[in-house]
Formats: sequence, C-alpha cells, structure tokens
Amino acid sequence: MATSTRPSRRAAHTVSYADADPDSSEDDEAMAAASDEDDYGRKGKRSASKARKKQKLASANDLSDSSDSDHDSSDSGALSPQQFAYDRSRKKDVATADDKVKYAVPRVNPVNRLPVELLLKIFSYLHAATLCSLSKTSRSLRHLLTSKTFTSLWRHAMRPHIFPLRNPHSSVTHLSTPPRPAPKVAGEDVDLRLLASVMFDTECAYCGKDVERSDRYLLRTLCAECRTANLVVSTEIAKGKDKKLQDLHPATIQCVIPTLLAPYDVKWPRSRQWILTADLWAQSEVLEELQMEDDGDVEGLVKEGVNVKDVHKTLGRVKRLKRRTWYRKPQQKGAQELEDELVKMYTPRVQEYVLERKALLKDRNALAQWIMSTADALYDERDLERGESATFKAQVGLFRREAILERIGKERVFDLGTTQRNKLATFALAVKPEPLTDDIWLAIKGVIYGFIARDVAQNIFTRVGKKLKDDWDEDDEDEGLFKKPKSVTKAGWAYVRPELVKVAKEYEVKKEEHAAEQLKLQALAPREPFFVERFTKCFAMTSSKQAGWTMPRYAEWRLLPTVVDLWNDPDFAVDTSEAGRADDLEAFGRDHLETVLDEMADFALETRAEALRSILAATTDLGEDDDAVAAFDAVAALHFDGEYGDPFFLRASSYVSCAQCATFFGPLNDVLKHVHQAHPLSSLYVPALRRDARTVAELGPRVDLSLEVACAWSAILELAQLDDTDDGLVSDAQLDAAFKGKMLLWENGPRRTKKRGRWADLLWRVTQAARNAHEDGDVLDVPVIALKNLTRRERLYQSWGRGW
Amino acid sequence: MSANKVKLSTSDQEEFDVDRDVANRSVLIKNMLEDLGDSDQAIPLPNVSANVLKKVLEWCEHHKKDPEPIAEDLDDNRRKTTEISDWDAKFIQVDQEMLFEIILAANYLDIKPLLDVGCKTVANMIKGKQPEEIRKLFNIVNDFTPEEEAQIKKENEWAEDR
Repeated sequence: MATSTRPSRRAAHTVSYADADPDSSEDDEAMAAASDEDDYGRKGKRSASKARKKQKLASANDLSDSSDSDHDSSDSGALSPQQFAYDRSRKKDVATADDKVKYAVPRVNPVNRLPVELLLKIFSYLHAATLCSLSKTSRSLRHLLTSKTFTSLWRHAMRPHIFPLRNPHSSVTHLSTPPRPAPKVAGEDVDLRLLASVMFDTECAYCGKDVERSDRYLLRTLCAECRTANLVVSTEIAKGKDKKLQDLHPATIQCVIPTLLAPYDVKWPRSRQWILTADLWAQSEVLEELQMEDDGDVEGLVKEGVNVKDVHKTLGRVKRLKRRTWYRKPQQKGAQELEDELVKMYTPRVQEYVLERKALLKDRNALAQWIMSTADALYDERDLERGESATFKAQVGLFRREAILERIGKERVFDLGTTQRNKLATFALAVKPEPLTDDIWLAIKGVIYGFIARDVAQNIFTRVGKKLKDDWDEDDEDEGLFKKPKSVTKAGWAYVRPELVKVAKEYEVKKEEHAAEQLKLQALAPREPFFVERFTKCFAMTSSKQAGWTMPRYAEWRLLPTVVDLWNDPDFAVDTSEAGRADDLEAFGRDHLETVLDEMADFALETRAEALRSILAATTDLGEDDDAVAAFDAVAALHFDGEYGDPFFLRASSYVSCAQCATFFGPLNDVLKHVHQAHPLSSLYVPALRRDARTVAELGPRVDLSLEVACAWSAILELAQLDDTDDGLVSDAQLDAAFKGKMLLWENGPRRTKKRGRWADLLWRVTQAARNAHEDGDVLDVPVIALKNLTRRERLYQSWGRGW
Repeated sequence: MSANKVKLSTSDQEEFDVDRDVANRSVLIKNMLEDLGDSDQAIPLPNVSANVLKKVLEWCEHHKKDPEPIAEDLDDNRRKTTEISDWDAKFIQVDQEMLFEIILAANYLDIKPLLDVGCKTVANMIKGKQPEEIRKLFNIVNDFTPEEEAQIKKENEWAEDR
C-alpha cells in the first residue's frame, strides 16, 4: 500500500491545486518530512497558497457577475475581482433591481485642475495610509507624491498626533511634545514614504490575505498562516533536525534579520528570534558567493571546522554571557570578545559582510523600536480616518435624501408621510453618497417616483376590502380598485396606477400558488402512512442486512421514478377505507413492487459507484477526468456482483466519511449503516432549500471524501505504519495501539485547529475544516501531520485513566 | 451707487451688486477696495465665472457676520480634523466640477475659510479609500505599465539597497 498511496496522493494534490507545484520532487520531500516532528522548510506552501488565492479570485469573479451588476451603474468599467473582493464587505446597502438607471456624473481629476499648493493642502488632511493608496492610483499622482516638494507632507503624515486610544484617560488626546524623529538606517535617513507603504500595506506578501498590521522587524506584511509556515526559530536551525537547513552557510544566522514577534499560533511564546526561511536562503546565497570569491583569491584560506552548529553554540554562549543572572552580572566584554573571535574565523569578504549586516541589524532594531513607539497611534489614526470616511459617506447620503425630499415637496407629485420619507433611506439610489444636481435629479426622478408609487400602491391595496382585491377590472376608472384616491395627486396617480396593476397581479399569482399548495397538501396527507409502510416492507425485502445499508432511505426511496409516479397519481392510495387500502395494496404488489425493487437495487449500485468515484477523485489523479471515471465504472461493475463486502471498499485507503456529520469515518458499508441509523431522513423537506426535495441530488450525498481528509488519512496510516497490511483492513483498535503514548497534531491547519489529540479527533478536525473551507469556495493545503510524544501532564492523565 | 454696495464683474461679463461687508469676506476684494477707495467702477474678477461667483457670494452672505478668522496655529502636533459645520457641508454638496471651481475661486479671492471647507471636503472624499476606489471617484485612468505596477508592489517589502 505504501507505494501506491504516496504517488496517488501527490497526483491528487497536483490535480486539485492546478499549477500549485511545478516542482514535484521537492514536494515529495516535503511530504516525507511532513511526518517528522520538526518540519520548517515547507516551500510548497507558498505556491499552494498562491493557487488558493487564484481560486478565491475566480470564485469572487463568478459572484461579481450575479450580484454586483446593480451597483454603481453610472460606471461603465467592470469591477476587477480584487476590487470586488474588497468592496464586498463594504457595500451592504440595500440595492434593488430598480436602481438600474444611467446618468453621467461629472468627475474631475484634481491633479489636472488644482495647483500643487492646493493639492498639498488637501493631502495634508490625509493619513499616510491614504496617501499610499493615492500614490498607487496613477502616474501623475505618484510622481507628485514621490517628489521632493512632498517630503514635508510625509513627515507630517508619519508622525503620530494623538495618544493611542487604549489610553484609558482619553478618547482622542493630542500629543503635546513632538515625537522623536525616525532613526537612521545604514547612515541614511529613512524614506518615510516607503516606510508608510510597508507599514500600511494590508495584503499578505505571500497569499494576499487581509492583514491589519505589518511586522515591524521584518518590515513585511504576513498573515498568521504564512507566518506559522515560514518562520523558523533561530535556535532550531543548528539542531539539525531539518536536513535542508544544514546546508546553509555557517555565517547566515548572523546576517539575517530576525523578528521578535512570534507567529500567531504559538502559545506562550518565549523571547525567541524568528527567522523567515526565504531570508535564510537569500543570505546564505550571498555569503556563499562571497566565500567563493575569497576561495578563488587565496588558496587554503578555508577554515576547517566552522559549521552551523559551532556558530550557534558560540552565539548561545554569547547570549548567556550577556544575560544577567542571580549569580553574576552581564559580561559585555567577554561576549564581545567571543563574537569577534567568531567573525575572525570567516574569510575576509565574509567577515566584512557579516560586520556590515550586524551594524544594519542594530539600526533595524532601533527602527523597529521607533515604529513601536509610533505605530499604535498611527494605526489608531488610520482607524479614526476610516470612521470619519464612513461618517462623511453617511452624511452625504443624508444630504442627498434631504435634497430629493425637498424636490419632491416642490414638485407636489406626492405628499410624503414620515414613514415614506424614512423608507426612502432604504433605497440605494436615494442615499448614494453623491451630491444631487439638477441633471442627476432629472435622470433619477422616474425611478424615485416609481419607488414611492409602489409603496403607495401597496398601501392602497392593503387598505381596500377583500372584494376589491379578488375582483378587479383594469379598465374601470370610476370605482373599484382603480378609483383614484383623493390623497393621491393626478401626476402621482400616473405613477401609482401601473404599480397598482402590478401589485394586484402579484397578489393573484401568490394567491393561486397558495391555494394550489393547500389543495395538494390536503389531498396527499392521508397517503403518507401508506407510503411509509410500503417503504418499510420494500426495505425488509432486501437480500441481506449488509445489502440493506446501501439501499435508499425513506426520502430517497420516495424520489425513485416509479414511486414519484405513484405519488403524483391523483387516484392512487387516496381512499383511506379498509377496502380501498386493500385494493391499493394489491395493485402495488401486482404492478409496481418488482420495478420499485429493481430501482432500489439500481440506487444501491449508483451509491456504490458514486462512492467509488469520490474515492478515486480524492486519492488518485483519475477522478477528475470523465473518461477515466467511465473506465473505472467498467472496473467497478466487475466488483459489484452483489458482493457487498467487496475488498475495494474495505481497504483502509478507500475509507469514506459521513456527509452529514464529521464524526464518522470508515469503510463504505459501515458509514452507510451509520447514515441509516443516525440520519434516517424520514422527510423530503430540505431546510437549505426551504421546500421538499424534487430530485435525489437535492437531498445531498450520503458519503463523501474530500481531498484533505484523504491526505490526512493516508498520513495517519503512514505514521501508524499500517498502510501495508495484507488485507488492507485497519481497525480502530489497531490505530489506537499504534498511537499509544503519542499525540497527533495538524501542523498547517487553519486557526483553532492546532490542538493535540487522538487520530479520530484529528480526522474530525480536518473534515470539519475542509467542509468549512469548501463552503467558502476555498481549499486547504495538504495537511501536514506530526506525531508528538506525550507531555508529562498528558502522561499523568493517561495513567489515571482519564483527564479532569 | 451707495457707499455700502460693491460692483463685481465676472469673467463672462456679468455684474453683481454686493453688500460691502459680504464682499469684504474676500481678502482680495477688501484690499482692492481699500486701495481704490470708493468708486463706481466694477471690480473685474477675470478668474471667476458668474455661476461660481454666485455660489461663492452665497457662502459670503451666510458668513458675513463671522468674526475675522484667527490665524490658524501652525501647530504640527495637532491632528488636522476635517470637520466642517453643517451649513457648510450642505453648501458644498455640488458636483466635482463646481467643487474645484469653488476651491480655485476661494483661493484666488483669498477667502481662507471657504478654501478650507473645499479642501476638507475633497479630503473627506478621498479618506480611507483604496487606489481603485479613488480612481473611480475622480475618473483617474490607471496609466501604470506592468513593470511599474510590479515595482509598486515591491515597495511593500523593505529592501535595504533601495
């Protein structure tokens, strides 16, 4: 089994994540390392997450077609997916289909219109984050904002003006003393514009996710997941558990810039230094090059015995010397000597470089300190500005609505009451944050009046009596429904009348639908028990108990073609008298029983084929391809000779999970049994659709197997060293025995999933997370599962038999 | 011509009769009047058109009783707020064309409070927006080449050798 699972899993991986891994050999290594306890160099991660981003964008794109079409019809250009993704959260205003009205809004580029000093004045009101996005809009603005004239602007923008809001004594308090200027880095002033664009960048550099703050040490924006995957503790590098990291140049560790901020998911972080793996390799490359040059210059300069481990040992000694303890003071001098000695062991060019980087590191730490002193206030100011922006938007919308109301009042078409005035606030077009001009009013007038007219029409319709509602004549102007009420003006009536016709028609359609539904329910009610009884009987007729579990459940049975026909037959099984029932029973037994049983058998076969398909899709690269599925159907047909214990489904590599709950995972037949017992499906009602299901597909699958779960499962088998058992069967007891005294940990799971647990817990977590991700149109990375030894506490609990 | 009326003529040769204290809101006109003394001659304002001047005078009319603006403390320590009074906020609800015209006119006529109102409104419009939103707001064409885009993207990461 081992030989067959590994490649198939990799293949599935490539199929699902599109172009995720061009370099599959590296991935293979990563997978092999995945079962180790320490696994840092997950280089596949970055590309996988890139693909994930692509998928996300694609799904966002699909959405934008359907839901975004009615926003901002004044702009002809289509929204880009990124922009849509951004806007989705903000544009929650009530937009209806009616506000599809086109009008031109004069838009003027301020850069072309205003002189520079006025622009400078305007920009001085803005936060550095906004200035950054301004500088990304167009060439001219960028040129302007990067010019020398605007340096003072950036200096003003990049200094905090308020105390951070966490200060309990104040909401916004202005700073009275000027903050200290930014420190120099490598002897040069820091470009505040660049610093701002780093600090207020909200996209993760690796996966593009939204991030609130950037890392002040690395000066890079990374999301929690990418941090966990890409940061390495500096002390782990020398331990040598990761073979790859041993190839680094020995001096690398002294040249990289570490961050003191632990990745998000580390509990109780100790004061450690975390290093980005990409940085490690970049620095190592530079060093190797320098070393090569040196080696070329002078023969025999290579010092023997300098390796990563030694360097690290020395650095550890230095660190300990610098630390104050209860028995001695920090020994700065000794530490310095040790460090100097270490540097002297390198070749000259490397020496120079290391010293240079050390100076830089000092500067960068100072810069990080400075950022820390200003960042809270600056980020708070950004939040303040966002709030102000929202307030402004609301205010402009309010002004627009007021202006509209004023004009309506002037034109005297409608006399609006308070409720109607307020209702206008729910109409997106009326509260759009744009000033209302005469031209715009002319353009949107019709739609606005239409909106009000509909409301008036609904009011009229609600108030007229039942007789008028049921029996109306469109041409009758003098009395009845279409008599103009006194309160509506003549001009207003022109808008209201067509709406009234629409409302009346809608009412009629609804009424008819409702009546039909009621009628149907009344007629069908007495038949349900009869059908339930027939189902029970049919179910009992299946050949064996094992075969029974593949048979349909009640709701699925009801949707078999013959049963549907019977159900829709208005004459069948309506008579509830005893004689009538006996007739129906006889008719069913004589004419339909055979076909129903055949259809049930077909359904059972289909279930197994479906399961086979999903297993193949998740475990091999053939699943996605239709031809391959057809080929496998043929293979499957050979398997289905009424043998329900067929070996394919019993193999551990083809276990499936219950589609209804995430807790059950096992061979197909066991899962189906669980489905029958735990989710009997006695009604056709589907909550998600808010109606009865019309096809079997609407009821949803019984079993499923997502790619992530399949990967996690094969990883678990591999860790338990059970995947090459002869008969392929793996029992819970076997797994429990294999993981005795060990804990499993899903290392690269989403947040809140990093808990140690038994194999079943882990599988449950993966299933749940995978389903959640799929719902959002996302996929998870291939699960990396690590085997951990028990902690002292856990051992203690187990020796007691259970925990608290 | 009475002593407290002033004649202004716009770029499109339209003439406005304005109260003196209204016209005095503009430092430019005020200085001119002081220099010229009383005269029946209309003051030419070649940079302002009639509809803009009408709007500006509407503002001046409303604010004629305001005290002289105290010289704004150029304190760099304070956060600049963009709050404006309700009347001003409503007054400035005009299309962008007009908004920029008003700002230019206020700049030319040297009416500092009005200039502030205009600039703060533009700042409010831009505040907290992403590049794409700003482009949409002002109809700015994204004229970056792909290379420049890449370079901008790279700016989000700090590089020592830049």
